[in-house]
Amino acid sequence: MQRYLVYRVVQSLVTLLAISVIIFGLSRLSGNPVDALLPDNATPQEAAVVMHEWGLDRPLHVQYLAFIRNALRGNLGDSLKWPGETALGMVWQRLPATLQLGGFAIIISTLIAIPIGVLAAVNKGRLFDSFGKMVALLGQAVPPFWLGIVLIWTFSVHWNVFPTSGRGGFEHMVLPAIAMGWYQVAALMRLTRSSTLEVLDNEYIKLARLKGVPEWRVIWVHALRNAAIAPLTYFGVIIGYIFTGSVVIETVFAWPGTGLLAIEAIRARDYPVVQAVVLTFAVVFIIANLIVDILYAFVDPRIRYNDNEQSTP
Amino acid sequence: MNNPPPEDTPAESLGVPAPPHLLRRIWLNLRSYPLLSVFVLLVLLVIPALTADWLAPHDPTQGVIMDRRLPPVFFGGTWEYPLGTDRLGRDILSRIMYGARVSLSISLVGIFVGGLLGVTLGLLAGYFRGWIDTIIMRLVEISLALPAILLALVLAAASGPSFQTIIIVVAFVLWALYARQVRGEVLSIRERDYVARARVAGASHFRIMVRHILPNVANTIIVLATLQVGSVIILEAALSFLGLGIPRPTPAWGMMVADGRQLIVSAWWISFFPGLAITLTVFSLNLLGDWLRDRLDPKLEIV
Amino acid sequence: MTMKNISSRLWRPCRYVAFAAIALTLAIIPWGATALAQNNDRVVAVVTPPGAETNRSWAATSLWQSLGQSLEGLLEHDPITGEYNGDGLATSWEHNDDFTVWTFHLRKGVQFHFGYGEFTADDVVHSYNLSVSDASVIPGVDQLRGAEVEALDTYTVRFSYAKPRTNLLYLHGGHSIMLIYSKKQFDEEGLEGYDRRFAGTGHYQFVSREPGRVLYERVDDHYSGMVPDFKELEVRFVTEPATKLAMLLAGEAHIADLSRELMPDALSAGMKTVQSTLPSIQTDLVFNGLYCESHDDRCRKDLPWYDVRIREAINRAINREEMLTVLFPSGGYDLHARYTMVKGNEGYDPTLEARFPAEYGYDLEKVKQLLQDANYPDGFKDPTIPIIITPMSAMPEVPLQQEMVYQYLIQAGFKAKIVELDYARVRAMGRERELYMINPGRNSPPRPTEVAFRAFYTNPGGGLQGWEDDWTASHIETLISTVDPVLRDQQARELQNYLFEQYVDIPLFDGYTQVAINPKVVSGWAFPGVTSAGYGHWHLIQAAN
Repeated sequence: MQRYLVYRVVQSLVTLLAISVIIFGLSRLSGNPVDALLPDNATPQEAAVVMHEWGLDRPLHVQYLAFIRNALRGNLGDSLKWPGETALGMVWQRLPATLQLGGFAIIISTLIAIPIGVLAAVNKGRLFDSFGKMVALLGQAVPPFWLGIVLIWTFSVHWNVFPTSGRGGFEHMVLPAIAMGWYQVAALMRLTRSSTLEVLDNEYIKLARLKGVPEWRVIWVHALRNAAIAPLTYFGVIIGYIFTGSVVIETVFAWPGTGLLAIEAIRARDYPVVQAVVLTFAVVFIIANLIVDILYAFVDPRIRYNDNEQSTP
Repeated sequence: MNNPPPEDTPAESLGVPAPPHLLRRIWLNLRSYPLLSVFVLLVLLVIPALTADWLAPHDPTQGVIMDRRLPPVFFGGTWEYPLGTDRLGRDILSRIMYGARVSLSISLVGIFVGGLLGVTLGLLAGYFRGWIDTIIMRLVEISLALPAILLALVLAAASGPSFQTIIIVVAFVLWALYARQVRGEVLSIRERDYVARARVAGASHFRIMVRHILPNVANTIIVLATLQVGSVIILEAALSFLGLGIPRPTPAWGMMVADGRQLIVSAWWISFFPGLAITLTVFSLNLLGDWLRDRLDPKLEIV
Repeated sequence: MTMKNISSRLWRPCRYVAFAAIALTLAIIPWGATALAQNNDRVVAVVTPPGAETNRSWAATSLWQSLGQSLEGLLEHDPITGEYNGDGLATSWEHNDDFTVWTFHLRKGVQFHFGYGEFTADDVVHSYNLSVSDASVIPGVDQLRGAEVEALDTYTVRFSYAKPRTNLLYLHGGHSIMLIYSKKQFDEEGLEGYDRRFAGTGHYQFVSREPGRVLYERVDDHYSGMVPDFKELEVRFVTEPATKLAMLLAGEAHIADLSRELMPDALSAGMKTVQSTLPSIQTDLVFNGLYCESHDDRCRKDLPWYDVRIREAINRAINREEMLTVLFPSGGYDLHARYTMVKGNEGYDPTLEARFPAEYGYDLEKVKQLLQDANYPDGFKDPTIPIIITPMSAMPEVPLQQEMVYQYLIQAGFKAKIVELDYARVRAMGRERELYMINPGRNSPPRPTEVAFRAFYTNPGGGLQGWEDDWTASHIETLISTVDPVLRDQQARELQNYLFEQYVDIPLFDGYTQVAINPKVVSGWAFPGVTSAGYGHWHLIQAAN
């Protein structure tokens, strides 16, 4: 187990290093911050002064090595666009907002998807199955930004029950979380449905039925408990959706999170912040997947011995 | 990444239906052939894409400024512009018809590029295993850990949005999915008897991969591709919203929704009809994809 | 072992993770933290985000909407006429004959916020040093740099330059070039002190900042003796136009800088608009890439618009009146004859206004004639006219405007295409001097004539304006070194006439800043339109009751 753990952690570090090279290169490719951050009629001399001030006149490999050296000490550089802030500080300031919204969106989509999925499995092929499917698929078929704007106009302007935008209390989260979470309902519902179908077929469920456990208990306690694991096993993938979705949803709802930060940083060519956002995302993603993998290894001893054979039945 | 792919689960385990009720029998018949989906897709996507040049009543890029923001027929408009006009007096119906072509070509080209890359690498990884597998799976992990939308932003910042940048982004999003899925299946297929027999008979690696393994993952690829068309259309819309879509004045559905989104109250039809086209199309595509999956590859798990 | 069996075995360890995740999510929700500010003392304005959300004015561009509430320049503008007056920190000023030495007399008894003491000449010197530091990116910093700044006594400060600075006042006024910070606070707390809570001298003092919003609070004993109506001023930064409108209509914001296309929607929902008293922006389309001073190898003579007939034809292919009604349905925009020519500024020539309809007006017959004469399209290597669409602050109408221009050009017989580019990318191409396209331009707020000429028609100006030739270069050079007002005016006028006759760009509109207000909360707001944001004078927001 320990060997496997070390192996996976080393792998993850290699991945991170590769991502740091890619994002370093990509951000340089995207243009020069002086074109975004200096006034329209700045002269080349002014641009040169500022470039030097930012250390961007050094050769690229020197910049990269300095970046890695500082990164190992936990310093991802100072923001160019937000003077007086460190890149990592900017991300940490905004990350809770994104995690909060993303977490709530996952909860909402799970709360919708799992009942639909279970009921759809129990009533397979009946009207409810298809109805649940409709609800789920609809979320996947509407562009999230459009859904967000329609929600704002309906619930905030027309009925005035939720605030339009911004971060605040619970009520501020409802609309953006729906706009973000509905998209994933279909995927979660499919998982729940197929895993419930399989669980219902299991020996111990049959045993429970034989023992005279009431049907609702069989379904909602025994089956659901095992079926609800599906979203968790796909935690890593869902994290990916959350970050991607946050870019659009945070723009619509003026939600001050990392998605909004990422857009602003890229538009400004604020290299340190772009790098910090992407690396933070990668670290969250990799850790989430590492946890999932380790949990698998925990229950399936074969994985520990040979990583490449893990999937061979 | 290292999630073990599903094992062969017998399709029968999905439950044996009880004797059908009349309504349910009708429903089951409908379900067994997704006629509605196919119909919607033909009417909304395929036919307009192929025939927009002849069928579209107006030029999609040239409007009549005097006729701007006209409502649809039955909402105060005329048959001249059945779905109304946009902010520059362009016919929305015509733009939707031409937009179908854009959506279809982005999806097909993007999925082809991403699929080709993903399937090839997945095949190689699953077939050869060892260090090739390790490297390719690291690449998959890297690609999944890089948010595609940020890649899109960076590419658009570097060169401006264009058809090519969108194809790159779409391919980037998709390839890892294909690679992972195909690799998992190849891992089990390569252990089968006929593969071993072919190897003993002296078939080359290339021949085994193409003749013996690829046909067995074809179903997965088809189902994945069908399910992905919808998400590509949604992705195009999201990119347009961020200003990274197909450049104007080319009519693209996502761009039309994005351009009309501010006027959702005073001129709702500008964003509503292209939005409806997206929703119906993606909805039908997903229904069709689900149906295909049940038919071809019931054990496939896609999120 | 099947996947689902793994799942069920996983449930045991995972449920703790699941519960922990749910608990964590619920825990970080600031429950009940939103006693939504429905008090009558607070006015909420939702505006386009500033260049950066920061308290350091010199380190980012376009900060007027987030710092102008609290920080002041040396000079105050009259809210109606926009002229500099002695009501601000400097009560009077004078310069020597050749405009190299400027002396400002400061107001006595001005107190910085939060008890950082009286405002003196030392604060001016300190603020100057901040504004011209290497990290400074403020507009016009090259004009501000190069001074020797001395405090002659507590209330007198002198700027000495080697070369004439005829437009120095502009650098101290509403364009927010140089804002006044407290030296005492800097000495005690450093820049971090400013980041936490900066002391200014304005009518509102800083309370707090969080991503997307900044809160100010009224100063009750301001030196002007004027007390703002609203006790608190909250400014929220939102990009999405539909969301801004929704906030206004839902009553969450009382002031919104909506894009013009949305104004009618706000008006029909019972909102009102207030407008700057002066034009706050000039727009044009730039025939870029004409880097044609005789020594310059960047000049591309095969560009269609290198030919003056093509430039005239493009100008005449555009129906400006129609564009006005489509782009600005709530009014407040007018035609102008010359980009950079502003009434009251040096070189203003009313005859150009009179000649404009005949020489620039919409006339498709004339276009046809001109294209024939110029042998368009056959006589050009690449006759396609590339039109740039790029997001520009203060110009939300750009995409629609450029699509209209594209339609006009196609209808008039041109070949044209639209190129969508990121704004920084456009500027990079301009800086590299390879922007061979038609790009939208803006002069906001309208600059003094010399500043505008320098920025738009010289090498290197800013890159977003590509007209350069020997005649223009030498005449601008003469203008810069002339100090006699009469000669300057004549020189500038000659330049304006030349540029007009050469059709060097596509003049579009003079625009006034409009913001939508909720009349139930805000009854009026007078601002001249001299700041980079268009609005200013936040203390003049009037309460409805």
